[in-house]
Amino acid sequence: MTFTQHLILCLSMAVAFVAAGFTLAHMYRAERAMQRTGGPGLLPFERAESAREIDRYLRSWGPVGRAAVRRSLRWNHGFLAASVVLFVAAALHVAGQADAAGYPLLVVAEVVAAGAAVLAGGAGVAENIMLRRTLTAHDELCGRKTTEPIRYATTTAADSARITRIRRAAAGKFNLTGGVAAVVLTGYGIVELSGRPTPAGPMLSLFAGVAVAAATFVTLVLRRRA
Amino acid sequence: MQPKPYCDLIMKGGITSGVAYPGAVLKLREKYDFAAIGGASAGAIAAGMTAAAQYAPDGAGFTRLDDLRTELRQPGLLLRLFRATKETRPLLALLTAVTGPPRRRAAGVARVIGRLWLPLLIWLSAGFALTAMLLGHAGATWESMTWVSAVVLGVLLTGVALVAFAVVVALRLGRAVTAYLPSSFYGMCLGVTENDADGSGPALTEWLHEWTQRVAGRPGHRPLTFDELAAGGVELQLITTDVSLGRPVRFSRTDPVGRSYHFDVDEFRSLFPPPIVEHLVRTAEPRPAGDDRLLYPLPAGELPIVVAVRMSLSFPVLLAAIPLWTFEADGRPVRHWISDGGITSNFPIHYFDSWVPARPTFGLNLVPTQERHSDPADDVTMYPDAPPAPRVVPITSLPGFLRQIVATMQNWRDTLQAELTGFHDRIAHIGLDPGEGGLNIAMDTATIDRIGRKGEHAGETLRDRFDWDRHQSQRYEIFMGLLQDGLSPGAEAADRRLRTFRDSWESGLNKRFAALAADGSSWHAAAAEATDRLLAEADEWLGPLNGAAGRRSFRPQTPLMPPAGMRITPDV
Repeated sequence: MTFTQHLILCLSMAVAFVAAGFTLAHMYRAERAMQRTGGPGLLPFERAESAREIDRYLRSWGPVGRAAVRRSLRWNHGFLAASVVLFVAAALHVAGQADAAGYPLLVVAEVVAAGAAVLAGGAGVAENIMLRRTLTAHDELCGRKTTEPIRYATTTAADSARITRIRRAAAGKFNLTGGVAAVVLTGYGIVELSGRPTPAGPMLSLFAGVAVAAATFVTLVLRRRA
Repeated sequence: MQPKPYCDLIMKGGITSGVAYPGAVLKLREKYDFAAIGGASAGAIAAGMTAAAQYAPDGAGFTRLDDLRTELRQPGLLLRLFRATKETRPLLALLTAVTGPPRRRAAGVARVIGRLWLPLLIWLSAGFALTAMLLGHAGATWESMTWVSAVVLGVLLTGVALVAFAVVVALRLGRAVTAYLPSSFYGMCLGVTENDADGSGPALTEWLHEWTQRVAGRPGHRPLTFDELAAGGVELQLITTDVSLGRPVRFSRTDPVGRSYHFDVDEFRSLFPPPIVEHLVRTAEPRPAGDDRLLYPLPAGELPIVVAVRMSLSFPVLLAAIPLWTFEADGRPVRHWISDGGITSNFPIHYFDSWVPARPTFGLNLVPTQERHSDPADDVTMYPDAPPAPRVVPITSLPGFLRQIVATMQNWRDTLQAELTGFHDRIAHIGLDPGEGGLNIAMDTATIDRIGRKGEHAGETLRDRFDWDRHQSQRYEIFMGLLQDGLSPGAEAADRRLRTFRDSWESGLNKRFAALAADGSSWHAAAAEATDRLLAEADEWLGPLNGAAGRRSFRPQTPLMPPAGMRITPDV
């Protein structure tokens, strides 16, 4: 792997870090807005196990919290894209290093990890779409709040099949992402001790990206609401 | 068949200690019928079930209450009833691990590790990557590594794993406490099943609804209400706590109408089974409250008793608090948090009390004990002749000191009330050791049976040892003595620094009434005349006693210990 290739991949990761920090900060702000309404954050919504559970979250958020959920889901698309770029670039970087160091099995593992990162992103997008549909269905039920109070009081908007799909998609997303992170980090550790560590220049650009991402996140989170 | 005499019954709160009560109720029932029943927290569950059994139109309510006692013996029932929300499961697992036997603790740790394997793996990988990066840039390679450096690396990574485990667990618990507990109404358990697919059966509130209906002999879709109990001649009073107002609230057929509580259907859906919510929505017209919120008035008489029971039974943090709403003068809605009745009065032995009772009001008290007797009956005590000696709780640590402060704040009033003459002779105390009842939601069947036997013995003790004639006479004397203190204390008034009604009347109140009467207020004129007549007669009312042999007064020959007084107190 040439220095330029190292640099391009590390810069991609740095940019992805900054983008992830930016989107994560907005998701965090939306998360706080959800919690201010008395409801939980997005994570329990993604991993809900039943219609009643989802119904509790949706009702506890109220219209303000549900708007924050929508905002969070929109930013989540950006975060997913950034994380896919980050993991794919990281996996390819480690694969290149492993190839140069003569670890063919590690190359295969990293390429598979890169593919899994894309799959995790896809699962995340699918999950977001289904969550938005659940929100829409609940809004329709809310429209009957005064006209059909008994029905509103005794039915749930979410259906079990969709909840199962959401939960599976979320589990796929989290498990794949976790697995990819573990493979990439372990692979990185292995190749760093191969006698050919990543050159300092690209690593510094990556660290700079992490620092900018952290600063962006903190600035956006601490910024007062207009 | 001769009708049984009536009695009232009040039961103390104690979370799972409530399994003692069905046996006690069934033993008391052999001699008495129940006219009025009250309680707090777990005592409220027993009170609701007893009321439902007494109400049952087919007369088989107590047979079904016996079935409930059998149901309570099921292994693991309490764990199934206290089912945490998905978000707070780690907290409940921690609680059951801490309060359970060592076997359960080990299983709890294994379960936590099982759930956290992925974050642990990521942290471990990150630790390895960081270490390898530093070593790699320092010139180290796999080939240059000796077995010593490999061991050092292994130890380092194990350390990282341990730190990571602690951090991950702390983060999860922190998030559960700070973010998820508030969103699940400040409780780990909502009391309803959120996931039918887990096949665990009904959760606490659903189970309460099912059994209340079953014991009362009614179908599930028509919840038993306070009005229906009253129509069946049964009075139920349950205490709960409005922590937003910082005071107790009594739920009965007529209380707390004055408070005008409302409920939000969105919130009640998460806390009560559908038949209850449907019943409540049908009883009243909603009132819009802004922010897309519709608030329904909480009925008094039409209130399903399960709702009141659940409100009394909201053991803080374990069971969700119940949100209710009131409207400010400007129409703004304000949320109130209703939590456990035991916060303000865990043993409301003052319920159903009157100047002189017309029927006995029994109390079932739960007291902690450190020693376990081989015969459960030895853990039950009653004090028909003298109040129990004050129980000194040994304090040997800061947590123990803090725990005792909370216990004092919670119980001082009930404790003193229960020690009074005219009270202590109608209370059975059930001693429970640290492994019995309370927060031990993972009790085994043998422990539940043991507590149940204590309950039976408490019922037998009250049934057999309580002396109604003596009790009523004693209460009569206490009341008349206090009345005498207030109206006609005689020469003792100055010695005992009594604040008498006569002093108040003659301190200027009589002159104010006379002035108002002179201004044309006929009511004040009549009231002043009636008061003067009462005081004049009070001067003479001890006349017959003066001629009697022995005591010449209503006042007890030896002062009451602990002392009692007559004053106006909140009726709650």
